[in-house]
Amino acid sequence: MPMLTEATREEAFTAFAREVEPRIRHALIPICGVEGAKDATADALLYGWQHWERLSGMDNPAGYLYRVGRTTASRARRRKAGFPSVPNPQLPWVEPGLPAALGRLSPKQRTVVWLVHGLGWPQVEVADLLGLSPPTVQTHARRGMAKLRAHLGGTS
Amino acid sequence: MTVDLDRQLRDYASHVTEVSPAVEIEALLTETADALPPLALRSRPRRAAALVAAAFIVVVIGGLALGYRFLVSDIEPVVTQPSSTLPTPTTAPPAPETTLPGASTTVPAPTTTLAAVPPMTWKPAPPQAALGAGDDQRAYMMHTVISSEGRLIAAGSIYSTDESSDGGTAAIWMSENGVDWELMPIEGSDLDVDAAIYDLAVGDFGYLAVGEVFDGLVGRPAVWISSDLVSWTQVQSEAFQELGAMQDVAAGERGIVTVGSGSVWLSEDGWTWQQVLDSPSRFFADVVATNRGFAAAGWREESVTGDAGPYLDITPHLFVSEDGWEWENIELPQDASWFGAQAQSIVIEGDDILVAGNYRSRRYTYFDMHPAFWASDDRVNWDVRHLAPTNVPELRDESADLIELVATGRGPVAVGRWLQYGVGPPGPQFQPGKAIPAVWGAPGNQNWAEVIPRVFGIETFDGGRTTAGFDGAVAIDGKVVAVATQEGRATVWIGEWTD
Repeated sequence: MPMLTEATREEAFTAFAREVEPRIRHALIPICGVEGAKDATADALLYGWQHWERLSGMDNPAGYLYRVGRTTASRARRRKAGFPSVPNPQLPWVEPGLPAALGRLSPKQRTVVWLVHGLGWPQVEVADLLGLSPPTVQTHARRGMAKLRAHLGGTS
Repeated sequence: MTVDLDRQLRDYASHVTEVSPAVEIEALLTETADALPPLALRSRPRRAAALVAAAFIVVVIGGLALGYRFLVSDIEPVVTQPSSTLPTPTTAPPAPETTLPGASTTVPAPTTTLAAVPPMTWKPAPPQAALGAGDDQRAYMMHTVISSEGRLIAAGSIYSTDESSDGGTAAIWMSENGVDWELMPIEGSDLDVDAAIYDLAVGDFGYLAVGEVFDGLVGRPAVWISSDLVSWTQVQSEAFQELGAMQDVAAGERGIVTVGSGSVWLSEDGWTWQQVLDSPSRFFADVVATNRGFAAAGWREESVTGDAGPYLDITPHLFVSEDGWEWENIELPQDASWFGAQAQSIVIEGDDILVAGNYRSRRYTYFDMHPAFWASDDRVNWDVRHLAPTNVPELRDESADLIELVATGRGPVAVGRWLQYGVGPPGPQFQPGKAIPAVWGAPGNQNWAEVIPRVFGIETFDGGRTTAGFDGAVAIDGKVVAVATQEGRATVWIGEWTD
């Protein structure tokens, strides 16, 4: 790898970070909550900046940083993880119990359901970020949605 | 109006992502201008099962430690008032930091690692169903072992290795001889949840287990009490709400103290608890009850700017308390060749204090950790010893991790592991970490050395919660019984002297 000047290095990392930051943060919300996701993403990006030379040579740097964030979230004393309540005036058709029901899913099911059904990510992209195979993502999504329906009393 | 679940999820997720605050990249980079070089969040592996859950992240954690410390630098220590059931602290509020006058080093004396000392042979307990033999669906993790009334009691966790299954349970084992083990039937008790036990204590309260209850990838500190090792009740307390884990417990005449990272909890009877300390800079690894109160081995971390830039200064410490409320810091001396050290385990017999841990041989790395030992009979003058960096042929970038120190009557024995951290990105390019259980000894408290040859096998991290290496040990009947988790099975090794 050619030597980069500090300015070039910063430009390259900044462009990368702007691209992946929302994806990593959104994917971490089911694990560590809205505020915790920001902190964990910041930790992950900080690590990415400190190890940019190695990270930039990876096939899936976003997936790597997601795992970094997930692990720091599990190690660190984050704020209590949880989904925010449903804003009733804006979303009256959303079950108020949905955040709690999501919280009762296993972490993997919760994350997969969140990304696939909530944010509409392609299963391949979810598999890529989470380090799972697409069939495994499909399994988690199916089981997670079944549990979610059960928790919500059969809402379909 | 009934709206389909997919639509609800989409709309709700859209709302949540809108209110999710973004990371300001430029501010982050500005912050890193002050950041420190990578260094591991050192913790006793038995205390951090989740840490090894993704072995490759072991490397990553080092890099994150410093950034995280900056991000949480605004955390204030938690100091809670004592309940009416606890002894009134001599001064209120508790937990002021005091540092005693500097300790001195008397005999810095590195030793070699190649002598066959102590003269011990180690044999494993045979594979058996109670330890996980024949169960391919679950992993059995044994984190700690104690002796009580001539019996051995071990604890840890059992969890499903099936990706689609969730969690597992805590686990308790009992043995009369260290060879044959019984898995206690805790089904239906409060231990039958996704949890792990990291330490045990016995007292008037019965049996007390401490650890963490998992909530997804995170855990919360937990205490359970039992009178028969089968029926367990989880203690409910507002003092256990923060994320974290209780990693060690000590019960004495002045109460029960549990510790975990920077947190200290205190109880008089095991049922009512107060969190007396939550320090971002002090780390408690091992706590014991003494005739003067309590003592704990640990370390302090502080960012320091040196000639070559900022770095994290790690200083080994003995923390002492007469009542469990107020803790004094006694900085342990370091050899001139060290770049920081962590005290990991402590044994006190009368006035004699022995502490074991790991020192860092290079400032800007966390790979080069090596065994370190401190001994004193007055808390002021310390005999400091260490082992020179060792080449472990089976590993690259080996790093020692002493976990538990045991007084045996034949000199102290320390157990732990050699570690090779995993490196690389997730996927096929990742080179997993490896670990080798290890034992060190010092007959007559002199000349520490590792047991050679190493007979305990070598293990690649499997990506689960498995931790290879000894997590706990106890001396009983002239033998040392050490416990580990190897290849997903609880393993027990019994060491006997050969001379």
